[in-house]
This record gives sequence, structure tokens and C-alpha cells, in this order.
Amino acid sequence: MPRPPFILLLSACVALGACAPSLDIPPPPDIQPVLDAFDAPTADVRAEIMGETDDRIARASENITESLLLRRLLDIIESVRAGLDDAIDDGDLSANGDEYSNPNGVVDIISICPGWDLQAPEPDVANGTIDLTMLLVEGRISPEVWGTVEGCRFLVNDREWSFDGGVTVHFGDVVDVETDLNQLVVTFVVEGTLRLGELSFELAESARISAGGRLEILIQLADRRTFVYFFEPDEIIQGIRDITGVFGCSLENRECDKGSDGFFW
Amino acid sequence: MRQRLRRLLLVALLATVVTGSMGLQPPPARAYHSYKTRLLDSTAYSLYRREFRIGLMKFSYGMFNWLQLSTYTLPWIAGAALEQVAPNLELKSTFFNRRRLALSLSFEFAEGGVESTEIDNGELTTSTVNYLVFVTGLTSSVRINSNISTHLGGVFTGTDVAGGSEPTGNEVRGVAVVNMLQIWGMLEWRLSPVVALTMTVRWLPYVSDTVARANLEIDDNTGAIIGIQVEVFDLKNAFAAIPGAVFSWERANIRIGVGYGDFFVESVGLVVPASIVRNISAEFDVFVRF
Repeated sequence: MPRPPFILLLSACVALGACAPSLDIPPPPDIQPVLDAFDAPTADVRAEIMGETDDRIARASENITESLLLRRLLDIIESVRAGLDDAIDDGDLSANGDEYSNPNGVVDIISICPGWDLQAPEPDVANGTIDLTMLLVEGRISPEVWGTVEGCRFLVNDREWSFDGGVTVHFGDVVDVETDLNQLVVTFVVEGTLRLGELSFELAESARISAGGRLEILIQLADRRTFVYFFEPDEIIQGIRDITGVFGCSLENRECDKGSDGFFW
Repeated sequence: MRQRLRRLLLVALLATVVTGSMGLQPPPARAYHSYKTRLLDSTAYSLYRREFRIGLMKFSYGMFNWLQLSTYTLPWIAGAALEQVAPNLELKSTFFNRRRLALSLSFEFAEGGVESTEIDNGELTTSTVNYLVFVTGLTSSVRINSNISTHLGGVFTGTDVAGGSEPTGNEVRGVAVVNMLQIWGMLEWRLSPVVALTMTVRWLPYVSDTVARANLEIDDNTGAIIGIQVEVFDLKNAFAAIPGAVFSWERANIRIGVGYGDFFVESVGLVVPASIVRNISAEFDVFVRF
């Protein structure tokens, strides 16, 4: 009786073993230049600069605040954080009927977007997905969470929004799983297409949201100088943080109060 | 004179018939160490066709002269005790056996589960762990002379463990994976047809990072897959040196060995760290071969 080709069987066996899943920890995107720019803007804002950037600032602010895109992303990450908080006790992750002490690894977050039909009985992938990657560092959450949003549909005040693009979220430092992320200053780098019905907006913004609801938008000029325009929650108080300091502005009145250097544009 | 000659011829004829009869009949299976009957464990040799091995640790059957089918008893016994059967099956093929060299290839899989129930803060919690182990081995055996043989092999073990606990506030279930490569060598010295001394050395040069994966369900829309690297035990470079002996009689065999180092569980290709077994590594089996 001819012997089967056991060398082939061996190859299959080894290949089967080699195909066992392995953990590939991806490097997070580097947004340090964005963080540095928020902390230390380099532009000295004058009338000319505001004249060039006011429309962009207003549009970005409107898109971010009306779509609640950043808030939606943060809520998803916060819900996963809360889940990890349940599963991790004193740095030990309970999983597989066992405990893993101070784990290092990757958390792949998948969220199906709610869509435009509030009466839908169950989640539908056709409404788009948000895929995010979070890293665990010794049982704590790494500062960066990043990923992609594909065809995500969601309603805000009965208005049909959708977004496609990439996102990076930064918490400033490693975060304990017990920490409520809404209490932190969170930086977002968002790049993609935001749609409202037939309207389409290209969104390429870096923004920060603080615990009090203050929104900061980073503006980079053509010569790569930067400044930050901020909105307090009531949107009445607005201002600029530039290389000279912090001062009040109003997009509606097209004026900034920079002390003796106040200007209109 | 004629009577004496007649008697001599009759004796010679009877002797010839008896001797010839013995040559025609297949000799009874004997487990004595011999040129044809070799050690089975940690060697490239397999049972012959229609031979059986029934032992404390292992049941084997020779389907063909080059193919042996086996199952280890320990997972079955442990599975029965835990009320979850743990089937396992090994195929070993001596695909080359000529002159002084023999080569074999083996493949084994074992599957089982463990379930435990405990009360935690007044709440009943059930934990289940299911495992799948597959083991691939390649072995060579070389007869230096009629008394001394050397055996060398490599064993690759892949393990998947899946489990979880319920009910919990947040059900986290997942999979852990670890792969390891073992290199081993054995020196066999036959003192007699009954006694063979062995010296076995085992070494674990490669252990993959242990990867555990868990599923975290947040709500109907959101979930997460957690992949973590954990080092449950530091197994890399685990080793054992085990002097031993195999006693083989007509059918019965005893294999014993006690040595130093980590404990290599041959039936599932896994390793128990020396710190747990107090640096005692052992081999033991009692079986009949017929």
C-alpha cells in the first residue's frame, strides 16, 4: 500500500500551528505636532489673519457643534472605558475564566452607527461603522485612540448626518480605567467628509473639548504658524489663544479685543 | 546396526519436523528488546501491523507496519472526572526504516473542557474553559550498534483556550493561544533483552507570546475585542534531564524515569514549570504489548 505523502501532512500541520493568531500591536498615529500647537501656538493674530480664516472657523465650529460628531466618538470610547472598568479590578483583567494582571494589549472597538431610522429594531451595518483602536498599557488606557469611520449615519435634532473619514483622539496622558473621559481635555484630529442631506463638507480639523464643554479649534496658516480659536459652551464668549496670550473675539461682530491692539476685520 | 540407524533417522526426522514447524509458524509477539521490537516512546519506531499496546498512559494499535493509531488515557480520565470528555487522537507513521536509520512523523490533537462553579459574593458564577491542543512531531532514530541507539526529535505544540464566566456584570469571553517548540534527545543503551537504560533531555527553545483575546459587549451597537499579551509562566528555555529505564518482558513493559527540571507532559505536548513540580521531572508507564 503506497504511503500517503506525509511530508505534505507535516507541512499542513506546521502551517496550521503557524497560523495561530498572534497579537500585533499597531503604533498609534503621531499627533504630537498638533498637541504642541495647541499648547504653544505660534501665530500673532491680526486683522489680516482673521479676514482669511473667519469663514473657516465659523464653518468648522458649526459642523462640529451641530453634528455632535466629536461628542459621539467620545461617548463610544467612554462606554468602552466603562466596560473595561467593570472587567479590570486593581489592574487585573478578568477574562477566559482567568485573571490577567496589568495586561498590555489592544482593544479593537467596533460600533454600528444608529442610522436615520429610530424605529429600526436592531443595529444594521448598512448604517455604517466606527472602528477604533485603543491600547492597554499595564491595565491602563493609552493616550491615543484612533480609527476610521465608514458611512456612519446618525440623527441630530432630526437632521440626517453622515461621516466618512479618519479620526484620532488623544487624552493627554495614560488614563486609569476608572477615570471618566468626559472630565478630561480631549484632543481630536478629524479628516473626512461630513454630509448633511445633499450638502457635503470637507472636514480637516484639530479640535479640543474640555470638561466644561469649551471647544477649541486649531487653525494652521499657510506658513504653518498656528493659533487656537475657542468657544465657551454658551458660544457667546469666544476668543483666541495665540503667541501673545488669550483675548476675546467675536466672529459675528468681526472684532477682537487685544487690549491696546484690538482690531476689526 | 540397522535398528540404531533407524532410530537415529527417526530422531533426525522428528527434529527436522519440529524445527521446520517452528520456522513456518509466526513467532509469538514478544516485547523483549530486540532488533525488530524497539522502544516505542520517544523513538521513531511504531507498532507493527495488528499489534496492540494497552497501558496506563496510552492505548495504541498498529494499523499498518508504518502507521500507529494512539490515544492517551490521561485526558480521558481527567475529562471523565470533570464530567467533560476530552478526546484525543495521535497518528504516528514510521515512514522510513532502513538499516540503522528510522524516521517518523506524528500528529496529535486533544480537545477538552473544564467547568467550575463557585459562589462569589453570594452569586453563583460558572466558569468554562475549552481547549484545543494540536501536536506535530518529527523523530529520527539511529542504531549506533546492537546495544546503543540515539533518538532525536522536535515537537511543535499549538494551543487554543477559550473560556469565560457567567453571569458577570460584563461578560468577557475569549481565547488564549500559546505555541511552543520542543527539542529532545534520548540515548538508549540495551543491557539485555529485558533492560534498556535511557537518558532523555528535553528543551523548549521557543515559546510564543501568550495571546489572550476577549470579547467585551458594551451594548447592541458597540463591542470590543481585547487582545492582550500575557506571560502566565516563563517557559522559554524550559528543560529536563531524565535518566530512566525500560523493562520489557514477553508482553509486559515498564517505563520509569526520574530527573531534574521542568515537567514535560508528553500526552499533550505541554510543560509544567519546575517551580510548580519542585524541579522533579518524571516518566512513567506500564503497558502490555501484543
